Amino acid sequence: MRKLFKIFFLIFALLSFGISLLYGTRIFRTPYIYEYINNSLVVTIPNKIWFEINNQQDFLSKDNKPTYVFENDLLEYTKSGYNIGYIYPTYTSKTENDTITKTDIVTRGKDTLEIKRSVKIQNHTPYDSYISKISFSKYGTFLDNTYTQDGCDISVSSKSGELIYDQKTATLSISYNPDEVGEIEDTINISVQCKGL
Amino acid sequence: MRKRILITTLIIASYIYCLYFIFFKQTVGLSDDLIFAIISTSSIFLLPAIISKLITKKSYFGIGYILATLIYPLSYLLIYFLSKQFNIESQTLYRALAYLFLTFTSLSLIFLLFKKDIQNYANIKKSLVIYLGTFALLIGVYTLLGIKTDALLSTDFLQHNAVANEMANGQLCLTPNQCSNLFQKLGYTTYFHSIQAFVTTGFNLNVGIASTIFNFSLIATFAVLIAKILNRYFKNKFLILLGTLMTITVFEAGAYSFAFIIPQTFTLFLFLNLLSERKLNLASLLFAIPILLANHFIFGPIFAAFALIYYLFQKTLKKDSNTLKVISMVSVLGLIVTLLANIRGFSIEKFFQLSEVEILGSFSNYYFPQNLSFLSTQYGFLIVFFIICAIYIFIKKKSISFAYYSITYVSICLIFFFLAPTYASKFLIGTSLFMSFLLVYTINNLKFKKWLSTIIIFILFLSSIPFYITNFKSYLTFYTQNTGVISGITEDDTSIIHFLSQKKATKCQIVSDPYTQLMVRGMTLFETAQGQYQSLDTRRSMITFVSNPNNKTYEEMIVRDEISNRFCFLYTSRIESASRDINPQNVAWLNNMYDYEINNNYGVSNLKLIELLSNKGFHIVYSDSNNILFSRE
Repeated sequence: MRKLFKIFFLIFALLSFGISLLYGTRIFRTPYIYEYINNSLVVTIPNKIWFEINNQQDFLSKDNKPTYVFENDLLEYTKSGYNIGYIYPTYTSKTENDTITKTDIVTRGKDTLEIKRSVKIQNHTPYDSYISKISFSKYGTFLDNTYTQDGCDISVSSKSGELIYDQKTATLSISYNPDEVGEIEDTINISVQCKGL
Repeated sequence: MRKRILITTLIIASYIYCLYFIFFKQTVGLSDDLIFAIISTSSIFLLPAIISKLITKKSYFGIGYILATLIYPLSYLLIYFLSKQFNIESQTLYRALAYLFLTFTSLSLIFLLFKKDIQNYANIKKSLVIYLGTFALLIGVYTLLGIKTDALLSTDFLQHNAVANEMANGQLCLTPNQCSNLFQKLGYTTYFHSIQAFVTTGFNLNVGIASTIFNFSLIATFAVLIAKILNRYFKNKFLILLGTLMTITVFEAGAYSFAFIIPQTFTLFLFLNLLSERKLNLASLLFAIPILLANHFIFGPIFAAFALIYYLFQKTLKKDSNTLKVISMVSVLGLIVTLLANIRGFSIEKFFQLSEVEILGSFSNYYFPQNLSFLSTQYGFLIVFFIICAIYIFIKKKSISFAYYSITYVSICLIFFFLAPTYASKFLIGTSLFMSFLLVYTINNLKFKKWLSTIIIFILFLSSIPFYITNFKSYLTFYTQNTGVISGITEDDTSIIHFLSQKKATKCQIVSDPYTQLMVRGMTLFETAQGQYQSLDTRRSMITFVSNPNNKTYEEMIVRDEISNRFCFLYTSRIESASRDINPQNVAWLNNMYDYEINNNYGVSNLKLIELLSNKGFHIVYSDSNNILFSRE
């Protein structure tokens, strides 16, 4: 009995050591949280500032006149993968209606959140652009595609979209021009760096 | 003999450094010297040990230590009466007595070193190694996390400092609320504060360095004490050392057992002194219990009950292993029942303390499944090993009484945690010691080869480090300023605090945002509108007044209960910071009693406010880029 317990104990000790090492690989990364809450991807950073990407703010634009595309549509998402150490979960969200289908796959690297975005518009010809927004909870400064407030820098980049920051509402718009078949493919990288953390 | 001379030289050198520092280095104002802070603050914890050894002639720790801590409240009362009787400034008396104690401690330690008792010398040597080793470990952790040794990491220290300052200033404070309105509930006497007054006023240390080294000294003394307790049950030195390290490298959020010195952790320290007593008898236990009660009105009785249980386990039921097993099994059963009740949604906070929740602004506990996640991240694998070790001890025919006691202790603490009264995580106080003990005991009992058992415990100690660092780092989030500095004291407050500490004749109440009020109250003698516990309604009315200064908003602010007729208004950029939120409803410190804005570097400019306050008879007595002080005096 004791021998059995000894073997079990030894295996468990080694196992716990391995898992602890894995757990510890996150220590020196920026501890921000990303999750889907109430139809939005919400990212909460350590200094309590948060920002969200809410599909219900997405619109198609024609001569600066917006047509909101997901006003009454709910987002569906799935969470996959583990959440320990350097491994972060992946969220796949999908919002669709008769005219538009939008899919975001959200993964986290070291301190960067990567959103692989795919939008399919059924009838895109009457519109100039498709606009999606990132809304910040506090007013901040925006310079060189980087939002700064309370010691944290949030750098945003988009492969195929154009970034426009509105100081009054603290929102960052990503504007896309759909291709000839009405599709948009983009990779958005959001890097979060905070002083002292 | 040569070794004794080495330690003696170290003690004499430390003492001479302090003398040199006091007479030649320290000018006017508070000190930030790290070495002086370490030596002087360590002497605070050493003095009761020396007195205990000299008087009882048996042990440095134990009942003797607990009773010897009475020297601090007694000194306070003596200073109070002497200052009143002979009109001497009590701060001067505090300093004189602090240096007298330091001298006595140093000389007595040398005297004890040269006693012929070899065991005594060996104990001092071992204790010194553990003490200094723990200090080195803590400084290493701080360096790794980028924290400076003068950082303030506990706002509680400031809160208690408000009382310690008043006591050192000649006020009679038997309970904290006699001297400060920062204490809403009567939780303890000023026993603890009489010790803190020696650190800050007695040795004239700045709050930042005083708080850090005071914490370090407590943790290092804890380490010595824990090693002493473990030494009674284990022969293997490495097991003792690693068991000690494993205990102190658990960051118990809320309880702060081996992290910060506050009345509850000091009460734990006194309780562990009881457990370290080799021959605990009922009479000495009854002598110690009032001291536990004086230190904390909730944890005092809890630890007194735990001490009585310990007495029963160690004395009355020591040989009745079956009864002890049944008692510990019942406690585990109780734990399972409360866990199930908690999973089903029961909690004291939700069912009986909703009025308190309303005042606080939110629930103070985690609920299922977050509470289990909290436990697993706090204790790491220690909590899983607790279950494994408990099963092993229950399967085993016979175990030592302390093993059963440890299971009972941890189970009762977890029962409190799952019953979830407000701030239930506080009730996990000290559990890491008993979990570590069970782990070391099980490894020792499984009779691995000596080298293998040392390796296993070493691996498990290493496994606990990522959890410790993660929890500590997460705790630091609040104290991380937007400049990257990790400390509760911001550079932008130092000038106004210095200004106020010079204005001893002014007696107005400082009204500002809650965090500034805490800074002011903790570091000066000015009263505030209930410091950091300023009510949510008062916070909101102040914000409304500042963002829209007019007669109506002014009147609405000053009618609040906390604000006295004779007040000075300290307009800070912390108050102004609320306007940075897109949605004013989301400002954290306006919605939660325990949320504050720590940064004060956003700048102030509000002409409308200045104009209105000047119409009300206020004039600016101090201003800088982030603070404007309005006074009518």
